Order: sequence, then C-alpha cells, then structure tokens
Amino acid sequence: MKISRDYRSEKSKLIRITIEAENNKIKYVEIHGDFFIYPEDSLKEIENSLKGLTLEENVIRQRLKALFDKMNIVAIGLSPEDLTKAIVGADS
Amino acid sequence: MKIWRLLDLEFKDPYMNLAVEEAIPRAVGERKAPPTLRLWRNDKTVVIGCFQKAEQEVDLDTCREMGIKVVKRFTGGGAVYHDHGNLNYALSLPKDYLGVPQDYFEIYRHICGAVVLSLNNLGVPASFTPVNDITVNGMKISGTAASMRWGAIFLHGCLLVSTNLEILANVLKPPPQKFQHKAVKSVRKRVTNISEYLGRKVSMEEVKSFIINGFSEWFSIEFETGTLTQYEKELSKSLYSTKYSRDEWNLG
Repeated sequence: MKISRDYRSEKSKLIRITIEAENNKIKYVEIHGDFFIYPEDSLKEIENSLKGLTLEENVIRQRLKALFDKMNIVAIGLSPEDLTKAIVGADS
Repeated sequence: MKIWRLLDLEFKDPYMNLAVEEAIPRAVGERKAPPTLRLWRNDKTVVIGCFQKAEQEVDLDTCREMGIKVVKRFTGGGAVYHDHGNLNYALSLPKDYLGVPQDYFEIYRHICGAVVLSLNNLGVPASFTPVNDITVNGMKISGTAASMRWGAIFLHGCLLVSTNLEILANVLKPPPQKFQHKAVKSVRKRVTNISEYLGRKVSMEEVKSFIINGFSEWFSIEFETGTLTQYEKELSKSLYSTKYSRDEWNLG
C-alpha cells in the first residue's frame, strides 16, 4: 500500500514522499516538492536507486550521499540528510 | 556594445507560453539564437514547479470552476499564480557567456541583480534574498528559478505588478497542518506587488521599460527587439504537442 509523507526542516523546502514498502524494503518511491535539484534528471535516478533498499535510515543516507557525490548534485532545500528523514518518516 | 535579443512575446494559451519558454534556451544553448530576454504574461494560470505534483499543491476543482489552467514549467521551485498583472522575465544565455557565473547560487545572485536594479530605478527598494527571491520590506515581489541545461544558462521569474494576490491563496492547497507554524500565516501576507507598494497604478509598459533598461545597464548590453527564429517556432510547436499541452506532464 502506498503511503504519503510530508517533511520539512528549518533548512529544507517541503518534501513530499509517496512510498510503498514490503517486508521493510522499498518497492516504490516518488519524491515531490518545491525544492530545486541540479541536474534535474537526477531526481528520477534517486528514486530508481532507492528501490529494493532496506527502509532504514543509515542505509538510505549512505546511498543518497554516494549518489549526490557521484552525480555532482546541487540541491536547494533537499539535502541527503533531509531526504533521508523524509523517506523514513522521521519527525521534522 | 553587445546586442541581445528582446522578445516581447506572449500567447493566450499558457501551454504555448511554457513551450516557447523552453524552446528559447534550447535554441540559445545550441547557438541557434542570440542571448535573449523574453518578457511575457499568462492570464489566469497556476504554474507549478517541475518537481511538484499538481494534485498535491493545487485545488484542481476550484481552478476548473474559476477557469484557471494549471501548467508545469521545466524549472523547480514552488507554485505561482499568473494573471495579466504579473510580468514574467526569462533570460537565456549561452553556457560560457563571459562574466556570468557557472555556479547556481551565484547565477541567482548575479541575474537577480538586474531585476533588483530595475526595481530600484523604478522607486521600489527591493533587494535580493538568497537563494532565489527578490523582496521588499521582507515581502516577496518576485520569485525566480534557474537551470543550466542544453548548453544554456537560464533564469526566469515572475514579477508581481498588480496581480490579484487573493487568488493564489484560494487555489493553492494549504501546507500540511504540522508545518503551518513554520511559515508566516498566509500566502497573502508574505507577498506584495509593485502597485500596492508604490500606492499607485503602475502600468505594465512602465515596468517593462524599467526591466529592459535595468538589464541593459546591469549587463552592459543593448537590446534589439526580435522575433522567434523558424527553428524556435518549430521547437515550440513540438514541445507544445508532446509536453506542455498534455496532462501527463502538467498533472503527472
């Protein structure tokens, strides 16, 4: 079942997650919001690379940080840390 | 003195306006068009950021009832409301254009500087508020979004001249309850427009001339009024039919 979560911290923009997990593994995830991410196409890659991952804060943080470095991602209002918290459903 | 193209070009159809908005930086990036400033307006349209999902941000039923179209742009950021009291400016430069920074934060600062100068010349003491806003007395008067793609540096923004500020608050869904304490209470209180600030009716032509002169001064260039090239026209038509007129793009 897909669930929606919204996250916002002092530094982030509003991050809106739609996620489906099965046996604590991410089956599907969509990331929306009023942030900026460059290159723009990297958001789809982020979504795809999260599929199959264990829905656990450290695992996701590590994957996102590696991806941000690898793709030279510049983001405004969407740091790997904020995105991690948004995905796992941490409190804002 | 360098010559840039000035395009004073708008369509009734907001989907076409957004298609042209993408065609220009593509052509400029491919060196098939000169550096270009486009000034244009949309009537009664909500324009959402490319990473937003319309149904999450916009009350689509209210929009339908009020005859307001919803279109997604190719840049990020939040939803804005356009009517004929709102002036859009869009600058497209080739990627390696001399003197223009290649870093996003600096691109915003540098290009917004031209808008701030234009507003200051008009008597509005606006300033740049990082990362991408232009404000006066802490209230937003212009929001911008930049992109470096297709070999181009692109920044566009909307400038509130005499926009109906009530409508945005009515058609945008309020942010989730749990975040409302973090924002100033309403959208209406956080924005202002030039006419409201100056306390007189300011015409669109007056604002346009200040923007044109402000950009000329800031970038040390001269403008020559131009039209779309054949290549841009064809590209716009194609982007219109494959992207901007489609629900898959605008609502997806």
